[in-house]
Amino acid sequence: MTQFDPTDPAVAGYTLLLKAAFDRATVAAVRHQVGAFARRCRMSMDSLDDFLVAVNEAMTNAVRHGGGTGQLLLWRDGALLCQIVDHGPGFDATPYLRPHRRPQPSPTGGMGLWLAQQASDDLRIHSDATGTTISISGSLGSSGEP
Amino acid sequence: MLTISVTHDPIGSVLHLAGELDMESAPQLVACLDDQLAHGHTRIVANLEELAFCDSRGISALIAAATRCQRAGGSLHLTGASGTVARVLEITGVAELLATDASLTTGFGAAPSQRRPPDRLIG
Repeated sequence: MTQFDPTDPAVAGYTLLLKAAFDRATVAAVRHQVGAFARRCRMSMDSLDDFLVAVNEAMTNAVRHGGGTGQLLLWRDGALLCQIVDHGPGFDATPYLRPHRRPQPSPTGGMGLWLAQQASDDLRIHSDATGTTISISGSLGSSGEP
Repeated sequence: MLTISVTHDPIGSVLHLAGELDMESAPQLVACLDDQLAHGHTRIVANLEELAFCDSRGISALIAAATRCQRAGGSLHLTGASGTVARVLEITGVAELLATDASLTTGFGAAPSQRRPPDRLIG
């Protein structure tokens, strides 16, 4: 029996705006698509910039550490919710998500998820041996309704 | 997509980055820097005025570039960032790390039309 997942956006009544597969070559194109939807939903420019930074880092993480490909789902309710799903080996996200401890800028990386968290209203990572789902929500503010 | 044009000012080589610096385009920056170092240009300014997006891979490429310039006896500084690029540089601490020394901006404050045209285009 499939276990009910209370965090499933479809179950929670969100509307699916975009479902897109991505790999290294298409991260930028999918990022642009998310930007176009967020603008259409009248997300403020500052919120939109941050939302795209966070979404991009989650996709980049999937490409680099999550098996090279992933799927992005963009949902709308009162806010935008973006889920980035990969089927990589999974990882312990705890060390990357210490909000008050900035990683040392480094030529090799290690800052992506931390940056994503800093740029997000809310970022959650669910990861196990079957893959990783990063959920990022972005506020639409009072002008969110068309 | 990223386009890099290079001009040579008295302060050193200026890399004008336009477009998006991300996982896919960051190797272009590395290649451009290789070219500069191979020609003995170790004092580099990255002009980010026309850069619309920068992510953590772009940040890593900038840090790697700065490290290599320093090892070659030179330096890499950033200038002109605004909007989301400035914010990402600020959040990650790179803005502070690679801030443009005021003395380096002498001769670089000219409007784009007054600058010499790019003598090399990469990307």
